Formats: sequence, structure tokens, C-alpha cells
Amino acid sequence: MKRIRKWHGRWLLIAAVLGLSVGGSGQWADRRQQSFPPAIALPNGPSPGDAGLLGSMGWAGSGRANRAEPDAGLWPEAGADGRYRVIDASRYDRQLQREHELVLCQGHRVLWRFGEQLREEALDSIRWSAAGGVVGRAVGTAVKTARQAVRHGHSATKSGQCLLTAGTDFPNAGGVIRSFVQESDQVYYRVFSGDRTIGSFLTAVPPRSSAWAQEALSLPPGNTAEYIQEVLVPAGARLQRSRALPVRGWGRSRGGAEQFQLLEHIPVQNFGPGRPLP
Amino acid sequence: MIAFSGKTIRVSGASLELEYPVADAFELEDRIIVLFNPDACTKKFGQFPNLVALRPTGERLWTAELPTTTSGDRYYKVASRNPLVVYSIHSVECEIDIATGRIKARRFSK
Repeated sequence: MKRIRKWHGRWLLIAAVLGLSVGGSGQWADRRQQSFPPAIALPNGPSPGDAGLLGSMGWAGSGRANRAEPDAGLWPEAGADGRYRVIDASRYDRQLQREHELVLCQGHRVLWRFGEQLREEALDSIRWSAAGGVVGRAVGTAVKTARQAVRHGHSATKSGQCLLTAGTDFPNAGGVIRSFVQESDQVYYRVFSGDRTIGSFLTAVPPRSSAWAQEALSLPPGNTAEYIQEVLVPAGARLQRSRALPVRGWGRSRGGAEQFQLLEHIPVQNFGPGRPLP
Repeated sequence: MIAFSGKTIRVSGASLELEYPVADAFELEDRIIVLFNPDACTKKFGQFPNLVALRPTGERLWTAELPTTTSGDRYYKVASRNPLVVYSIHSVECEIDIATGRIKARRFSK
């Protein structure tokens, strides 16, 4: 009889711990969907503090991009006129959109809070099961489960719950990430240094100074925004609009400027000559 | 000595006809490094691996790896011949291993 009670207590504890584990992986997606509308992409976790050479980092494009959307039926692949592939932010009024942006910026913190909550729940379950007299190994197991739950939460954002990747190689794109096709020819701007006269990151307005561009656009150390050039983006070219995320590994703690990434090749001659940026 | 014009390369008096117009070509050790004109491929989607190494006979030794998986990626300039450093359209500077065509080091410039 004693043995049966002992096993009963253990099973209760295991069930509690497993319940938490499921909450950390399977239920995560459901909770996230309640908080984050599927039309908005989450930023891919925290700023890459260790971002330096690309060689030391994994490729974002290897799995996160183009992942199947959980609610594809709710959000058609193409927008009303076929120009927006994934996100049509204009469905929201401005106030709502601002709130979404705020949520996106806070995404990582929300996630962390959720992880903390899971950890607390796991600790509660340990306290509850202590009465059953099987605290010993269970403490380690439950704490480990809590850690895993937090880790699951983090990997959920990192591994592609987003509708669009937060950047090709680095998590450098935040805010509302929107892919669109340029309706008519339009001049954009690009800053660069040295002889790197072609690149895919542009701005709609010319940056006011080199120092401002480096900070607001979170430029890596190799780009000191020495020059500015005009770039003629022809009608029909696809771009991705976002806001630059801060990259602390590059000493860029600000970011926030609106940026446009060319998602396809445009003729080399469309990149105008560079002129010094003050 | 190498000379090139359009799709043709002349190496030691012999001509090689290539598939795309050549933007740059030079000898490096026992091979010829060729950068095809980045505008030569007008496909709307997909990448254009446009840096190749050839034997003087025209046999292709390798096609250089591209630094991203983003559509439209290709190289547009040879920044250094030895070591072989090239710039990609998607703002990545790459050092290429001339033995294999693989990327040895890369740096993002945005």
C-alpha cells in the first residue's frame, strides 16, 4: 500500500512537470497568437550582441524564412491587389498599428516574462509535490523543465514563428516588416564607405549626417557612411520595409530608422555616384 | 596575359567563348578567375553565381559560393586579387578560397 502511495505521488509530480513542459512548447504558439496578430512579424529575439563577422553566425535564411504560416487561411498570401505578399499593415488603424509596433519592440521582454511565469509555476509544482515526499530528484527535474520552457520560448521566436525573416543574415530588421513591390520608379538613398558602391539597404529620405546614419541605421563597423548615393529603384522591384534594430555588438544601441532592403537585383547603373556625407 | 571582350576571353593566343559577358578576368596561380557581368542574368528570381575559376583550356574548376540565400545575390566587384576578395550585391564582402571557391571569411557592410 505504501509503495502504491509512493508511486501515486511520483506520478502526480511527473504529470505536473510534463504539463509544464507541454505549456513551454506546444501551447506557446497558441498563447503567442493571442497576443500577436498573425499579420505582424515579431523581431527575432534580442540584439545580436556577438554579431561580428558573418562567418561566425548561422544563416537566418536557412530555416526561418518562408516558413508556413499557422493561420494562412486568415491572412491570404497576397494582399488585395497582389502587391503585398504577407503583411498588409493598412488593415489596422494608426492607433492599433502603433500598439502593435510597441508590442513588437517589447516582444523579447514579453517572452522573457512568460518564461519567468513558467519557472514560477514549475517551482510551485515542486512545493506542491514536496508533501508527497519526493522532492529530491524532482527539484532538479522541475528546474530543468523550467529552464527548457524558457529555452523553448526563446527558440520559438528565433526559429521562425515570424511571418517574415527579421533580416537576411542578422536580426537587423524590426518594427512592422512589410514586403511590397515598387509601384513606379523611385529614388532611394544609400550610404557606404570605400569602394562598396552597391548594396541592398536603402532609405527613403537622405540621412542628415554620417554620425546619424551610423547610429540610426545600425551600421556595422565596415560602413562609416562616408558617402551617400542615389539609387533608382525601378517599378516592379520588390523591397522589404522595416526599422533598423540596434546591434550592440557593433556599438549601435539606437537604431530605429526606417530602412528598405532590396529583395532582388537591380541594374548596377541604377546606383548613382557617391558624394561625401557630412 | 589575358584579354576579354564581351563573352570572349583570350589566353595566350587561344580564345574561350563563355556563357555570359565578362566584367573582369585575370590569372591567379594556375587558373583564370572570371567575374561575369552582374547584370548579365536578368532572371527575376533566383541567384546568379557569377564568379568562376577556369583552367586555361576552359574547363571549369569551381563556381564561387555566394554569401546569402537571398534572391538576386551575385558579386559585382573584385576588390583584391590575391587574396581573392569580392563584393556581393547584398552588401557582403567575401574572401574566396581559390582552391575550392568556398567563402573563407565574410563581412557584412549593410
